[in-house]
Amino acid sequence: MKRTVGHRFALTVASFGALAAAAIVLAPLVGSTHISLRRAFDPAIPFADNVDAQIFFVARLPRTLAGALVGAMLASAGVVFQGLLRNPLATPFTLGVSAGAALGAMLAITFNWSLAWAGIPAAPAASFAGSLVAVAIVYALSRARHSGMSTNVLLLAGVTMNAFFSALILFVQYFADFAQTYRILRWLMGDLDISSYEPLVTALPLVLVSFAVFAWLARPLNLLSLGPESAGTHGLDVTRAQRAAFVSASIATGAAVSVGGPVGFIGIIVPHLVRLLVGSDHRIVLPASALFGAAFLIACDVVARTAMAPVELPVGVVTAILGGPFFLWLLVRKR
Amino acid sequence: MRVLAALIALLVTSEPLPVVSGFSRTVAETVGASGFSRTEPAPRPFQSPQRIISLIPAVTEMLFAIGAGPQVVAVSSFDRYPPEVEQLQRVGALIDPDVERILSLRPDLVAIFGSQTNLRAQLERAHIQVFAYTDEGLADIANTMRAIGIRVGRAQSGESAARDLEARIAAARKRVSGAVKPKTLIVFGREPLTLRGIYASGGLGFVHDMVEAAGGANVFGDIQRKAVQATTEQILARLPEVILELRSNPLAPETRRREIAAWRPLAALPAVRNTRVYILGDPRTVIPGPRIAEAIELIAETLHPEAFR
Amino acid sequence: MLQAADVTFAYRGHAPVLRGVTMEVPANSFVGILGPNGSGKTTLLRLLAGILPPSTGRVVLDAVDLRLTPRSRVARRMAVVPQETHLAFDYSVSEVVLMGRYAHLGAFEIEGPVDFAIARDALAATGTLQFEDREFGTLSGGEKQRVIIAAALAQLTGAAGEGILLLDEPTAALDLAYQLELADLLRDLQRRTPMAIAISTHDLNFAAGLCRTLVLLKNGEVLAAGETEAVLTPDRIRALYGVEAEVTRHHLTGRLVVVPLRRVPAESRA
Repeated sequence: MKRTVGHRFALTVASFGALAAAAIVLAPLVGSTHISLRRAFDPAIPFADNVDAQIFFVARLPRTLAGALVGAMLASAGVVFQGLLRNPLATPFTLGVSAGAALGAMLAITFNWSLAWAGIPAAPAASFAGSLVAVAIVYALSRARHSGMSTNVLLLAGVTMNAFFSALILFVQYFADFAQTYRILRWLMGDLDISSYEPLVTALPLVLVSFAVFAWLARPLNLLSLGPESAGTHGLDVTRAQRAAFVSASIATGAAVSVGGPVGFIGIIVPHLVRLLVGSDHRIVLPASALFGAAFLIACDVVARTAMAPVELPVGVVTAILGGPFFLWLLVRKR
Repeated sequence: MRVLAALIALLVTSEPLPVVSGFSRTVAETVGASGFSRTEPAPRPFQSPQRIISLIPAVTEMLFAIGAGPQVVAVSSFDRYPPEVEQLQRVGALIDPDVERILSLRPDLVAIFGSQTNLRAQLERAHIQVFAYTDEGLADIANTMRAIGIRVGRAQSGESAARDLEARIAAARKRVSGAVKPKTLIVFGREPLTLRGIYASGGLGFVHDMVEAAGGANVFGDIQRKAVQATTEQILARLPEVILELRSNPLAPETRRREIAAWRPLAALPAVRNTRVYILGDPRTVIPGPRIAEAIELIAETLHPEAFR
Repeated sequence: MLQAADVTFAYRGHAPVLRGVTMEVPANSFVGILGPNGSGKTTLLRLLAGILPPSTGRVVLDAVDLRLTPRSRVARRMAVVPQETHLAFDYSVSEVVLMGRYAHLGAFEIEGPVDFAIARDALAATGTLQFEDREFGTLSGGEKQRVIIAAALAQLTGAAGEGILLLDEPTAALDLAYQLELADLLRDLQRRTPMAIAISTHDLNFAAGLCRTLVLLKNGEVLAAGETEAVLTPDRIRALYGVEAEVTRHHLTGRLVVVPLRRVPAESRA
């Protein structure tokens, strides 16, 4: 016990924070188009005429920030779900949140829902609503048999919800035409090209609330890994902690998905890599995962938009190519 | 291409969702619509088909244009023109052809997409003649009309309709030949009210050819694909002078205003600065059929209004 | 201090596992809950620990119903050592022991030097200080159990009042050497720090050699309760286990020893 938790926390936040900061600063400098930074930051040129500035501030910077937000949310939600389900293979999508989000987005795209009167694009709003519906159903199911929250029932309810929503998605797909199917498929592959700061501003309150709850959850998650009964005899209000974990991680996932689509594998690769580096204390793992997740997704997005220039890969493809073998390695290695 | 698309679909849908086969099949069929099979030569002992089913709106229009309309007994779910098709039965489309209904109508010729290999196999097993349609570009439209003409026993009508089309297209080309071709971003679709998910036309396909004929220079013409997922950065890098969004249905004025306004964040684009963002809600621009010449004239007038005064 | 008052418990939709059980764990006592499989002894322990709520009756700690006592206060007075501990993630031994301090810290408070000192003392008291930086999952069963006991000690340190340590089937997974060590450890701990200890076990001799009072459970009811010498008689053993046994005091250890002799035919069981 050479370093206290406080010490290690500061060290971790500093180092991973530097990594995330570096990613945020460097990523907008890279792209398939060559731009002149001098011109981009030249205040003499009016913004409306400054192509370099627009590429930097409209195309690349929002995209980088979206990568940071989505990466941080999915990675930390992954940590929380793994702690809640006491299973290192759990992901933010295990309990049906992303299936609900996908169904919402699909319905909006297929039936051309439009919130034009409110000036809000329909697909992200519908996707967030869909994720909330999925969460509510899973939550209600998990409470049906006990007054507390059994993680086994939670897991079963989540898996059932995934299957059910996936069936609905297939059903809706048959109403979709050619163009809509392309749009849906593209949404499913993840897309961080948000081209404006609005989605980030809209998601920000949800991010802050989720992170605040995660901070409170760090120590309870440590205790939960002893098992719910042991956690209870240590003095933890297990039901309250489980509910808080489930709801906050689901909201974080739903918000991330509504910004960038369901980008896979972040929620499992990042927590594992982080635990290999810093141990299992959630008070360190959570902030480290959020920061590393941000950096990691930004890096994946840079690869996605430069590897096959001028054509861009969807970012979900890059995370899948990295994640598939990683997942296999996780399953294969003996612990 | 088909394999890559299916593989991508498989990879990314297996983690967030266990929805695999439906999507990969859909993508394969959708992408394969621009496959590589050629239209077939006419069969040898020849009898004019009397009961024709068409799954392709463009082919339906061609059939009616060459006078074979009365022989058409059913069309796809997306057919709208000519008005006579509203009375006809519907048998599905590319993704969901209703095989049972097709068979129950006892057709003697069915026009299907070249990528609908399953459907083709089923029809051939039932000894029904098949016309496999593919869309390779503007020139293909006239040639398809010729081929259809031969196939339904109206070779002369087919030939003259094809010639008329080619002449009309040539006339439109000539009309704008002197003008400078503006760099044009051709948008198939995007998410409503935002600039997300922009699909633009690449350098292949009839849409690209159509706009080129109308006197525009496709900003993505160098990319040898039919469709390009255009990101904000790519669009900013290519600085289009005109943005042309093609939709199959007309827009309400308020919606049109909002959708045009969605391009405002990209103020550096000449198209946005000079308010040359056009949203055409005309089905003629998205159907590679006999009315394509009208579409070319419409687009030419949009791009070069001065040539039409 | 800790009492079960006329407690009945049934899992939802099932027959009662415990019926009208009254027993207590007084200060500085060493109580053994004995009975055959299915007698309800683990359930009783879980009720005493507050893990399960009684269907009827009350479990009382310092004259206050457990259900009305704040969780953290209960945790500072009472700690449970379960039969097995499986961690979902890899924690070090010192991290596991420090988890015992949860009830003593505020929501965002981190462990201070006092907590570290308590943790190390607890490890030293259970003879596991040398494992402090090892990963918990790499220890043997006996070593893990001692670490969990250390965590329980850390949990009870600084309580206002005497601590209560509950152990569920502590010898179930241990071989002979570790059983002896555990017995010595528990005696030693109780000598050093005043605390009450209650164990549920099916191991007669372990309980006989260690516990000063016994509660015999049969089919969810208390067959007998009281001082070990008084309660652990051949008649009682016959009634509880259907086994004819001899109970003697061992000439070397001085402790009670039960030697099973033969099974009793069904008709003559009490």
